[in-house]
Amino acid sequence: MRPYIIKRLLLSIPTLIGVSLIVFFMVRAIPGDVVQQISGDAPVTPEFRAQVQQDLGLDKPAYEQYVYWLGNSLRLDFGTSLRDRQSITHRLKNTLPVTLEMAILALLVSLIIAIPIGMISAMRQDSVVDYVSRSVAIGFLAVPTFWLGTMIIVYSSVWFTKATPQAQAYQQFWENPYQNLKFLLFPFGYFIPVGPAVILGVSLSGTVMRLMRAQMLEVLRQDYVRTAWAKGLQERRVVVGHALKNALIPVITVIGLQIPIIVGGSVIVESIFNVPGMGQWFFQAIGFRDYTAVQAIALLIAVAVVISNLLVDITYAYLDPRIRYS
Amino acid sequence: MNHTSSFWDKFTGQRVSRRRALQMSALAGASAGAIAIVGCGGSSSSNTTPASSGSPAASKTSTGAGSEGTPKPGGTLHGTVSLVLGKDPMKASTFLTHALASFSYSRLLRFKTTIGELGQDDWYTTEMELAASVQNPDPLTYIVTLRDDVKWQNLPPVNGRKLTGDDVVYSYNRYRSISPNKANFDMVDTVTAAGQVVTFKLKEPFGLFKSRLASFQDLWVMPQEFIESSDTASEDRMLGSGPFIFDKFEPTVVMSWKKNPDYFEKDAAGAALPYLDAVNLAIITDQNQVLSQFAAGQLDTISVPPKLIDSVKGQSPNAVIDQAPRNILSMMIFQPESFTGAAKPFADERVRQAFSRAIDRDALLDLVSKEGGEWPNMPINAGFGKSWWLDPKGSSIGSGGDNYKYDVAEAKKLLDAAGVTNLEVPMHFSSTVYSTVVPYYDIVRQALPAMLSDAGIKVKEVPEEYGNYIAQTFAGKFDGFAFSLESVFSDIAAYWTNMFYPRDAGGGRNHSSVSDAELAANIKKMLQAQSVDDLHQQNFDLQKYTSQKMYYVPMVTPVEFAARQPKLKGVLNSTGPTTYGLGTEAQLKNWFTA
Amino acid sequence: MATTIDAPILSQDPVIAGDPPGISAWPRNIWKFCKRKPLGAFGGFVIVLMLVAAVFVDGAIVGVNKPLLAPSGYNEQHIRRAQVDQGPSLSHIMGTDELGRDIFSRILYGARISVIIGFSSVIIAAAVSLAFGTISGYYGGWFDIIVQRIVDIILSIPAIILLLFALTVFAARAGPYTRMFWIILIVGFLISFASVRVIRGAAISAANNQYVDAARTIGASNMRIVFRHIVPNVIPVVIVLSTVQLGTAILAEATISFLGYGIPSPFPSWGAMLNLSGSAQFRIQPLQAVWPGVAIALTVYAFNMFGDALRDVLDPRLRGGR
Repeated sequence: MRPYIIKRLLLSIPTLIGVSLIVFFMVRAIPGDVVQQISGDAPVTPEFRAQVQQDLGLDKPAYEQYVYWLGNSLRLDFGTSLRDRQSITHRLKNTLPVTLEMAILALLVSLIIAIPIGMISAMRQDSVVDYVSRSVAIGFLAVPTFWLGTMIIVYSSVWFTKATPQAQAYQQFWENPYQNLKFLLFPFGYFIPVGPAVILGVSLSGTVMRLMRAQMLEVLRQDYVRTAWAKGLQERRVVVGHALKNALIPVITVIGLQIPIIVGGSVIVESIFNVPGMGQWFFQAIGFRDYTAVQAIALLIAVAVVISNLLVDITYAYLDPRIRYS
Repeated sequence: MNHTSSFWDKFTGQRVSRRRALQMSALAGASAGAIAIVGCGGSSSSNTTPASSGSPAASKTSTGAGSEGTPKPGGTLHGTVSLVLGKDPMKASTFLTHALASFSYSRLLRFKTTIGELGQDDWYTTEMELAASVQNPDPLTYIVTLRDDVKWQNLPPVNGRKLTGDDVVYSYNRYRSISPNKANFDMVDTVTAAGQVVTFKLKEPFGLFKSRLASFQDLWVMPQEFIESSDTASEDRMLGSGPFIFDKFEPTVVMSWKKNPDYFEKDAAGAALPYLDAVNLAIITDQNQVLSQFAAGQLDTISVPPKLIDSVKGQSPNAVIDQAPRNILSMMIFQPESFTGAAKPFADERVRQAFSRAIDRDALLDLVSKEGGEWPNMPINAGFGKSWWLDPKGSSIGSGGDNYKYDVAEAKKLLDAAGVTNLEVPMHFSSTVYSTVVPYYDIVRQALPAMLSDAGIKVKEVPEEYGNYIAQTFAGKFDGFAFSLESVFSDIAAYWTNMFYPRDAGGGRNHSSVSDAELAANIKKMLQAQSVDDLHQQNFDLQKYTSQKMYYVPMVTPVEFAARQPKLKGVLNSTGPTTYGLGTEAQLKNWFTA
Repeated sequence: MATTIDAPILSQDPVIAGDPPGISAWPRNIWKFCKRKPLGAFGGFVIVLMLVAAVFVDGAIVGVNKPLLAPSGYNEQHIRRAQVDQGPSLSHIMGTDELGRDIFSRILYGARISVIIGFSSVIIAAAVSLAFGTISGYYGGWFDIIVQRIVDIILSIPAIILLLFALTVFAARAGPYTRMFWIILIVGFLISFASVRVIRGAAISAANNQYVDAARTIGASNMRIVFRHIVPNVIPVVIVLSTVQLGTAILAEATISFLGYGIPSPFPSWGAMLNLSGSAQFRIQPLQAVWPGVAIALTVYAFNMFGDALRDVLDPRLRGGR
């Protein structure tokens, strides 16, 4: 086990370096005069140019800029936003928990939807129940997040106008857990679960359900399940007692790999629902050429993905010894 | 389409009372913020229609504070802005920062405001803020005497210290060193202070100098100790002499202020201002959200995209609706080489005139606003009011007015005369941000190619996302033409110089690099005029000239709307281009009925 | 190393390539497919409809210069207030948009954009991932390690971030057609990164087969083994992956167009018709927001269902079941 973990750790180092290189040079590849872009429509004054060049370190050679930026980033100093001059690290402290919380809630929602459907679908493969459940799940997969969000905003304005939550309703979980959860899950009332976290969860559930179904099908064909059947155990006991647990482990593990999808979804959902998380911030930052912010967010997300991949792989190796030797 | 034919005439009728509401642009967050992002300050000058427009009773109630009852102190105002991009009005190039500044900061003068109707003659005139008086003994000297009772807000590091002339000089020097708009004060030679007296010595006469002192983009008075207390002090918070004390800012969530108990102005009855205890601006980018929030009663005042006014009236039948054409200029701008190097085809003024005549402005207005709108002149928009804006439909514009008339046959003739056949030309536009900022941008930019194709002009559309658009096209690096929006300035002079002076001589927004020495000389002459009548006349003459030349082809100025809850009283109304002020300009006398 | 969601689903066992069915067997096979996989068949049906719409929406492909299936052109404007933002009626079955254009026509034209973007980018993705996946899986060594690292790196950055970035870099001032080209290229490459892993896995398990060992012992060249034994075993995996990815590609284009970075109106991209910045407009005529979304969802749904059914059919291990 230990050699495998060490090997995986070593392998993630080049990945991290590669990610940081891409993030850094992507920003610099954007055409046009960076200073003019940041200045917006105002004429660029020499003072402004000097200031921006100093902020971005543009007066130094590229490799030096990169090393400087990476060094600062490792110390969690991401500089200041080019747009509002606020500390990026400080803002990350406020936005990261929001997105993280939404991601966790979305995952929970997706599991609540996907596990029963996936299970039943596999148990009754190719039956009407299977078709219906799969249709629903793939329907969730097919419905674009941005459309669902737009529809909810548009139709809620028609149907539940008076129930619209207050604009400043977003409160951090530790400030007011009740308000916070209500906003993310049930903004228009308790029987209408259409909050941003739910939308994100629904769009994830399609993927999770497919995974669940496939794993369940595989497990149901395993010898020990056949043995259980042969012993004449009831279906419920076979499925819940033997199959479910084994099918769930890989499903839950692989959820760690959904981070890129969740982040992609949060860019959209946060923008539509006005959730003050990293996704909305990123989208605004790229629109306004807030390079320092864009760099910081992209790097942070990529690092999170790399780490979660690492954890998933190690968990897998722990669960399935064959992998270690492949 | 009677509503488009003569907008102003309609409002002189009894049906609706005309007044201009600051609040529209002001807390009217969606557009305000929007404009901010355009980098293009918009000012909505608004005409107010009392709640149930059409009811004669309502139209009579709109004059004077008296009709609204005695102001009751207390309460929190809930407004909205779409984005906050910085808090230091001197550093910022965007309109939104300027719009937020007067909550906490003050200027020497400000634009005149009133509760109720502000007559056209009062549009765009100044009144005292920090200044107690301004003397103009000769065309080159302005002597500003400051009020004696102004204190900085009672917070460290200033701790309620008295505001003096030295503070003004410090602010002026800082402005001249860091502001992107510093060229607006190029006519000033020296600024000196002695106690409460500040003397501005000009290099050359400048008739609109008092307007400049009141401008939102320029001379905010800020305390030195605060600015210098840390590198980011002026971006972390606001600390000035304004009516509200900065409370908190959470990006994309909220920006809020509390009442400044030591504010220097009192109302007519001698009661302390402001009445409000606090102001809360929710930061919401999505207009849909804004409208829902208003309908649910969570917001007290919003701006309404012009097409959606019926939806707002339907959901909030009691809302008070203000309406006016906003001062955002929409226009076609042409490849700079047309003027710097006589590049075809736009070097020929007949081609530009043909483009203008191919546009059916009334059809566009009909499409984008329930109340139609106006035709802007170049560069002075309808929002300035009739004393500054020369109506292209009016009689005094002369033959230049023909260039605005929708006439495809004439457009084709002009193209033929210019020897242009089978014209195929790129049109640049912004595919993001502008469409949020200016609700009609996307509609007009799609209708434009269709209209031009009727005149035999084939348009190749070049979409650019906002960041690129601003850095390239807006900055004058493009071929063909572009459909663009213009920043909103506080006075007409800023438009003339920014758009027609050479780029390196104050023409920061001369997108097409128009180089017309005669026009530039005439602008300079106008700006030195000392009598208001002379200034007005020259301003009109210049607009006649630009209507003929069509260096930029102005598009449309739709009537836009703002809505507020009926319980909100004491909304100040102000003048045209300056109306993007919040704080002092709009919220100073706000109060709520129970 | 399962970083794509599809990896655990797709069996990595080699496919035993059967004899290709003769032409005469097609109708019977299709019928069998429909009976056994009704959802897949439904997906297939929607895909056929979409292809028909894409080809025959107007006469451009068959050489006639007018709309065929569509009642009017995609940018035929009627800018009078009485004609804009209308609800469904007999003359406009989905109503009209803010410029008085027939929404139904725009939806049909939108199918063409989606088909072009979907198929082109998936073909790019299939070619790239087949080449890199097979070589990486069969030869291993340094090449494999480098390819895997690159894939790791790219997959670590969420696709939407890469897409927004790549489009700002490459298509900053591109016209609609050039922009479409870049979207196809970028989406194609991004998708191929996700596939390389799966294909590599399939290639490895194919290479571990005894008949590959046998071929090697009788002295077959690597080239021959790759083309005779590995590629045929990998192709079904590519087909199944590609079918599902068609939906992914269409969704990707719709998403970035929704955000304003893709194909702008007046071009009838479904995503652009939903336009983030103009969503307040839908308060006037909420159905305007419904149609493009339904079109996208139905298309993605169809490709997923069809792909799933195809996998069940092509993958012997999951075939049958109960």
